[in-house]
Amino acid sequence: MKIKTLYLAGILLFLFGCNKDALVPIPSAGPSSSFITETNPLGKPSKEIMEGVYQVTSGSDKFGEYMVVKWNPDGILLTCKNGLHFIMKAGHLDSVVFVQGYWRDGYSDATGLCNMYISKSEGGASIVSGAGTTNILIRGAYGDNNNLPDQQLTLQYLRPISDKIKNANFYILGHRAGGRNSDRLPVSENSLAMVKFTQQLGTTGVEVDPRISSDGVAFIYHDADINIRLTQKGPLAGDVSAYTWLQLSTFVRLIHGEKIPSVEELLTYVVDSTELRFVYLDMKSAEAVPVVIPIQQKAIQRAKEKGRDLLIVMGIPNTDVLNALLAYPDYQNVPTLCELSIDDFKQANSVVWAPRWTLGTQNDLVQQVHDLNAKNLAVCWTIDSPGWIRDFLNQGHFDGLLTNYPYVVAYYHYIQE
Amino acid sequence: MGRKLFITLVLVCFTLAVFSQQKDSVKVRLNHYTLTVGGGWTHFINNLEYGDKNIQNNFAGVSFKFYWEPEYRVSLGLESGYYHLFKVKYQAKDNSTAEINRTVVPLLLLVRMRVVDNFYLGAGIGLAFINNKASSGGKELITKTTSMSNYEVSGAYIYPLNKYFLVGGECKVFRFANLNDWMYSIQATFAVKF
Repeated sequence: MKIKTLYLAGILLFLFGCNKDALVPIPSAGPSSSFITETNPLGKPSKEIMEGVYQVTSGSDKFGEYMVVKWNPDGILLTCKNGLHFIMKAGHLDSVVFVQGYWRDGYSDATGLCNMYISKSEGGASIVSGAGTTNILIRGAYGDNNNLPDQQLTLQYLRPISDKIKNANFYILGHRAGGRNSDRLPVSENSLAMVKFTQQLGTTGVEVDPRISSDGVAFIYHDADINIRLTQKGPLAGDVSAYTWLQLSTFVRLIHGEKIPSVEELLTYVVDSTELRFVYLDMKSAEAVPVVIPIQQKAIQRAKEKGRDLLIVMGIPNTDVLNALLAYPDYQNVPTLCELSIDDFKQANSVVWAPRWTLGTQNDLVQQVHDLNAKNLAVCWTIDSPGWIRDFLNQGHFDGLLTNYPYVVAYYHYIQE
Repeated sequence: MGRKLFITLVLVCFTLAVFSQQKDSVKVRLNHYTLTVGGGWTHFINNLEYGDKNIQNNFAGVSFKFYWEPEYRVSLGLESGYYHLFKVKYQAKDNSTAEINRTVVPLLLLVRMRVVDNFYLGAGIGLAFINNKASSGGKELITKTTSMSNYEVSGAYIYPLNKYFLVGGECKVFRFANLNDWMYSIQATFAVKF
């Protein structure tokens, strides 16, 4: 019996193992079901009042005891400790605040709609006026998939995000421009659309993967080859760097239809159109180093001119990239992130040290990095399990975490006192 | 005299040793090998999600098969061939004409079974070597991909002309999993049995 099961499993793996991951669609109750576009936008003081830690007074069996509410440039994120999170929009009509959107489980396919509101007497009036209150009750319901929300969810305001956390220079870094295709997000990894979308997941920075085309254009793409995991099935195949930028632009579309962005396009987009504070260029080839550095410097200059607090660092994942960097004239002035040893970090004059998370919190080395220069940072990659994220935040001294589940990092970060 | 007698005895003993154990019956050989060459129409099932304007997906293809056919219904074999999956012509942004061709050389292990007289069903798994050739502005770029997880299912009618030669027709469907390419082919076959 067991042998037959194994044979069957083997055949199924053979037949379907290379199939694409399915998408988890954004739930919708229909084209006319959203009323949030008819509400008035909330001002910055109102948003600040709403942000904080809430107690889940009904719905805690699913979402846990607490929820963190945090605004982002595109809406409002409600996030829980177990990977469940709400991607919502909010606005007001008179003194009632409406919050509408959907929830998702980052670790499974579960999703559904959510409608909530804050009545005038339960904090709505104070939020809308910007007067401030600590008595906020968010009432509403959530549902499964496209079904109308029918399960009660109530959040009681507990406390604001602590000043210590608000003032901390901590980065929540989204992997592959904010999220992987394997997590079945509605936009493609390493795309401009993902850079925009990921802010709704709570990220404050992104990691992206620069490569170089055969005619010397630096672009963002993770794998070494064109494949159906990352791209819509098209006529090109094989080594992605063997093609010219024109060929890639013409014939390749990412899995959700976006163009492969050039490094320049992506950095310009980050500077001009986002509030992200950190870009980690995780170099996929040493040959790309001398091509990417001028683009990086141009983007840094552009960010300065716009008054943006934005750190753009070139990653050093291996000795090939390190050697290519050291061969670059004036490499000491290139802001870099070193994934190698502390000695390599010093040699490259890096500003960020980024060890693999499996090496542990390494507090002594993190301290050494901070001691070298107060502006130096230490971030850790790529940490995904809620338990580990909690432990690294509670026990480690990192200045940021790179993750595929930024809403989980956001929960454990913002809930700290 | 003694020497002649000795030689005669040795020859007699040798003859007895070699031929004495043979049956009286005529020996019938029950297993064979066949070498098959096929050629015909191939059709790439167009599942391109992007860039399939002006796609040409009907081409000629050839296959080569070698079978060991024991006395049972099931035969084992190896197959290779050459198939042109598609050709795409495209006007690039700089107004140059680009052309992309994808060809494949499979290398499959085959199992074939005679289901009724002259009708066979087969299946194969194995490797596929996929070539992508992109041409534009007088330059050519060839990239090679090896697809590890590929399969084929086939149905064939094979008619024996005589003891050594067979002709027939075969329909088969291929899947090359690495790039999720699907193709079917209808081929005339000619086989030599030995």
